[in-house]
Amino acid sequence: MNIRYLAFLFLLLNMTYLLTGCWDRVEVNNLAIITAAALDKKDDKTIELSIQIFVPETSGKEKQNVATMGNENTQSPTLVESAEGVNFADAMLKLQGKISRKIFWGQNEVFIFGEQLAKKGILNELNGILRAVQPRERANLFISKGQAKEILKLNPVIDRNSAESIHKLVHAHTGLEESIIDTLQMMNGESKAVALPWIEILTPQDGRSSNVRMPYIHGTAVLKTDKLLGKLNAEATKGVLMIKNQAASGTITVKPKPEKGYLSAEFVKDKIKLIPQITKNHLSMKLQVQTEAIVTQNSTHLDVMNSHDLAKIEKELAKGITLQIRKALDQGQKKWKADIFGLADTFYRKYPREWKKYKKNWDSLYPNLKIDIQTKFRILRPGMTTENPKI
Amino acid sequence: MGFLKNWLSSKKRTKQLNEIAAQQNLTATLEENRSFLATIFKGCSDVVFHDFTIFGQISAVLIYIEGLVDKEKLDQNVLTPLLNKTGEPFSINTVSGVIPVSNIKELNYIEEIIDEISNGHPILLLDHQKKGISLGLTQLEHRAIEEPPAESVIRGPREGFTELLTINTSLLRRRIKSPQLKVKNIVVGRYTRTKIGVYYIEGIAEKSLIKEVMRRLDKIYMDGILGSGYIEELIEDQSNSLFPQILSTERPDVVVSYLLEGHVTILCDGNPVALVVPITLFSFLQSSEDYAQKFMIGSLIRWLRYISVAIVLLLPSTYVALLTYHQEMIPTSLLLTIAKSREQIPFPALFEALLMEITFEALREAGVRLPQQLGTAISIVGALVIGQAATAAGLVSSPMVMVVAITGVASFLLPHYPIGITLRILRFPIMFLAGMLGLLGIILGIIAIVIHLCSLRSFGVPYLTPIVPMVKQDLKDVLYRSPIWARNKRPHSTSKQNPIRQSPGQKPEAENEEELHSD
Amino acid sequence: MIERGKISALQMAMILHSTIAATALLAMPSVTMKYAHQDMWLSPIWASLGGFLIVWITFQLHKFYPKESFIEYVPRIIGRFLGSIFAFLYLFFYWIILGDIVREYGEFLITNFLAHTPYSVISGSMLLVCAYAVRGGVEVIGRSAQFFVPIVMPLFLIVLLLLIPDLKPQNMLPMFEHGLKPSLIGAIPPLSAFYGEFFLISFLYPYVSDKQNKLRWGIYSVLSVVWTMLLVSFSTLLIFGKVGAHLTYPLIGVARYISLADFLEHLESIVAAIWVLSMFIKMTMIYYALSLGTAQWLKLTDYRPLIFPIGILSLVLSIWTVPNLQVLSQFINSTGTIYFLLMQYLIPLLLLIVAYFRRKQNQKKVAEQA
Repeated sequence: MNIRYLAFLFLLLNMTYLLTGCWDRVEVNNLAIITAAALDKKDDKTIELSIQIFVPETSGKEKQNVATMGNENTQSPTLVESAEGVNFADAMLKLQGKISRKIFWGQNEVFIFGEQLAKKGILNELNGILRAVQPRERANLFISKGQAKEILKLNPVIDRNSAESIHKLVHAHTGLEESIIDTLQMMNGESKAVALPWIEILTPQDGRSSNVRMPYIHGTAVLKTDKLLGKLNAEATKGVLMIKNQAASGTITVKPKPEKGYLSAEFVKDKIKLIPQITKNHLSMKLQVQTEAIVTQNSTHLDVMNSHDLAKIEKELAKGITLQIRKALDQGQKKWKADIFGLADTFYRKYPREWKKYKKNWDSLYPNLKIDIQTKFRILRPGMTTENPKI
Repeated sequence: MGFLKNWLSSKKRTKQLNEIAAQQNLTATLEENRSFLATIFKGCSDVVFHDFTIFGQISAVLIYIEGLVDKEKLDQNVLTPLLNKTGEPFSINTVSGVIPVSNIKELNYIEEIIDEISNGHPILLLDHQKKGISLGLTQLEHRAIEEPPAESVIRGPREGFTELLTINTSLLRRRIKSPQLKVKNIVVGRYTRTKIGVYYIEGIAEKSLIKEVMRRLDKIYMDGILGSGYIEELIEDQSNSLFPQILSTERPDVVVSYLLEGHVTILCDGNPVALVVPITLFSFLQSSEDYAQKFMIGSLIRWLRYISVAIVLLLPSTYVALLTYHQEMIPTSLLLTIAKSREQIPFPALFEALLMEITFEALREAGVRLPQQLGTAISIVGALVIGQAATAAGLVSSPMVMVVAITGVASFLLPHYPIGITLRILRFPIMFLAGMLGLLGIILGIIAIVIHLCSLRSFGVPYLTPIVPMVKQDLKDVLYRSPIWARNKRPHSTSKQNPIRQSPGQKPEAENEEELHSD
Repeated sequence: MIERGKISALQMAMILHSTIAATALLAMPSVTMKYAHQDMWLSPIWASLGGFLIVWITFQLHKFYPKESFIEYVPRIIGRFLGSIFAFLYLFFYWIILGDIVREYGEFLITNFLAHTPYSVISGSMLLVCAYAVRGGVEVIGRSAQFFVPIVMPLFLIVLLLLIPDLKPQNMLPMFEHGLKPSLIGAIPPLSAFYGEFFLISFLYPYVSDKQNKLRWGIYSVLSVVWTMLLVSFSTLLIFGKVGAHLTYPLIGVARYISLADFLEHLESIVAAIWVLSMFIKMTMIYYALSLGTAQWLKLTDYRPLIFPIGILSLVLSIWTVPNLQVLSQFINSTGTIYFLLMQYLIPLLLLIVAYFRRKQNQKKVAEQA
């Protein structure tokens, strides 16, 4: 009995050791919540890591300011801090030294690489990000025009911070959505080329002060292995989105030949199938596009309710889609010679044995690869009006 | 009579009372008997010795305790006939013949007599007689039958047990009119001599279970039993467990439903709370109300209750764990809001949670003990303390107030007080674990609780029964509330020997629909 | 008999399922992917043959000695002296396994979640909880398995369901690029390290109450493990493709990947919590086998006094055996493979053969005497 009592006491004493614990506990008050991070090239050997931190205290005051006046000198609810280092981990460490609170990566969904750094190569830093525990594999990657840091400093009026704006933009599918894992898969794949969304700064059109600039996705960056080659414009990006099956929504506007007006349709479904073919040592590709759409605007004389006209409309729209995809393919094939569509992987998957032969020559084969596009366009509904009211 | 036999057969019990009066026969002389009893009841000023002469021939004494006896009836039915009649030849049979009292017993032993007097039965002793007569003219002051405030229902009977065992027995007997409802009485407590009734339905309840219940009750040997709480603690399987292993209820309809499923009920004189054994954890999460509603509604309410168990046990600790260990799990915009509201709070989240939870528990306890008028005052203070003032003072963040409030509401959903208090207490160690190891700590806490529950038994029935070990046919009353017409079998754990409850195919079907509509 | 409790065949299957699945979920995908690449989903199917074999061997042995556990009947098969040595070797084997498992558990949590919490606290707290369960005996272990497995499996399935939008079926292609060989080689680690653990069934057989269903439920549990492994393999492959081979814990990667409606995100802590539940059953089972086996080996009347010392020893051993995770995975993939195969496949098979001939000889003797 006595020994039991002593043993219990001993255990209890050990418990006090536990009370000093809570080793990994971090209060929210001591966190610097990162909303976005940017990496830039500093000089040949070092990079600059910038982070956008949510500042909880000022946002309370700011609320009042916004309520009273929509003036420009509202305090930013975020803080941008940067540090240099030889690589991501090194810069992260130095950054922590500058900030009183513990840097918290768990909520960060946005990584932006500056143009200069992207030209040098991003693989090293990507590996660094992936190995660290906190940053997410699913965080989206972007390439920015100029310094990526500048994007973080933006203070969009409608969103809490620029990270949130970017996040929402991604969900609007105006540009590609590529996570770290997706990107690494592409880099490790057969095509060895990646397309990432390209971010620019939108300057306000009217005479408002330059403080209310916003980030926006405008085009696609083309990376071969992990180095930036250049960018595709917004028009070509639409085609890239389609080929990568990421065009969840979008509109297409065509001008049917004999008519004078324009015809716009919004897709509700857009599926593309990439079918590689190897016949007699000859590689070719077939793209089967299936699109379903709703007519949104029609200023032509074609009648959507008329089956004859409808067939014509559908044909015209299909042509428009083909053209859009062709534009993207041409830019990828001819201009940048980078297989950002992952065509090589489709060959590898369908013809694993034959592929070994062509693998080495892919770089020379790709620009001249014959790609056949077959588009089927179907108009589901005429929209809210059947016929344009005549005046 | 039953209890007396039982009591006499137990030697130990005989000994305990007879410290003064050994098992002793009455003698033939009244004077001797009277003085003997007078010494025993010496100093008990409420014991009345009323001497008189029967038929003018025989001296007699009437002994009773004032306040326990219906004096009016005693005068009318006993004294009047005995004093007025004269001249008849005397015998004990004639005496009992002239007294119009139904409950008459002849007693031989001093000890029996003492017991009868203590129970409020007047005793008539006659000269030259070796027997005493006990008259069942007790009148005990008691409370009227009311609805038990702790277990009120919207739809269902409003009757609750009272403090008197005889009334409680009659409440049960009124609901089960079969002679198969058996009652065993025993008396425990050296001084209190509390009468305990054990109720079961013969043919449904397992014999081994009844035997085990009696064995455990027989083992009780102590100064006094002041309530069913005493008995519960003395007969439960594992006393040092936080979980209640015996169901306590004040509702006769609940007891009847358990009796019909082969459980045994223990009622104790002087206490309106009945004990039901054996029991599983899930019985504590069921309410008689479930069966008054439609089965689908009953099932939904039951699920709501299960969810509330999880909330009571885990919500505050999960909040602490998420906030201090797993911030990435909180959606970004919510985290930013919480960060904002917590910015001014000086305490760590764990301490904040403890502060609020303890305050809440204190307020709740205060509300229970206070009279109703003051109770409302407490709730006003509580609303101020927990709600506005704490947040305004910058002591607690408003999300934490929400967490505490939700936990509080969930705890009110639990239909039985004992399980509620168990869960509320267990919440605190889990909160500490969450503060120490985050979600891992919570999981370790849950594992420990589950191991404990897995090793618990209530009178031989594993505590988590229909789930673990799995009894498929019993799951229908745990996972959901099965329709009455589908409950064809009794629970397997309590009535293996007689499983058929009702004949199948009782689902209502409008067979003669045409007839109904014909006119 | 030291253990008086009884479990149902279903409970036995559930214990075994968690015992094998717990570590396999975590470590298997990256190992099989290393060898079998995109055919890695085939490997667990090949390897399952080993699981069926063990369940069968141990069942045959159990039929010869129906009331005894492995430690008790080994001396009866090959003689008291040699048998005791063999039994000790097995106890030693399970001691090392327990140590490894404890270490794996601790390392996993430290890497992913609790970087600054001392190892001894993380592993010690778990061992303490396990010791509590072991104290309750086989009945409590069986019941807690029956309680947790029906919670763990649906949650696990829900997590995988949430991933469906992110699956890329083309990652499976090309199939059989190099024939079946890679997937067969990839089957060796799961065969030795994971399916081998089915040998623990020999400690449970004597306490299963429904006699007819023992073998059937043993086989069911192998099937359910195959199914679980397939789900994990597919989800890893279809999300990460070949990148999966580079991840230390693909399952956690998979969980981190979940994102639904911007609300259900970052669920790795939940997945880890689910995993801890099955890990608890695994550790408890091995811990129990070790404690009970030791008591049987020493011919004690109760195994409970051994629980605490064995727990402490295992904690210590978990720190001693390997300096770090790399060495541990190296051990499992090289020397360990042979060790596991020897102890869990080869020796039991030989024992079965010896027992079979002994039985025949005995029958002959009896016949001659008659």
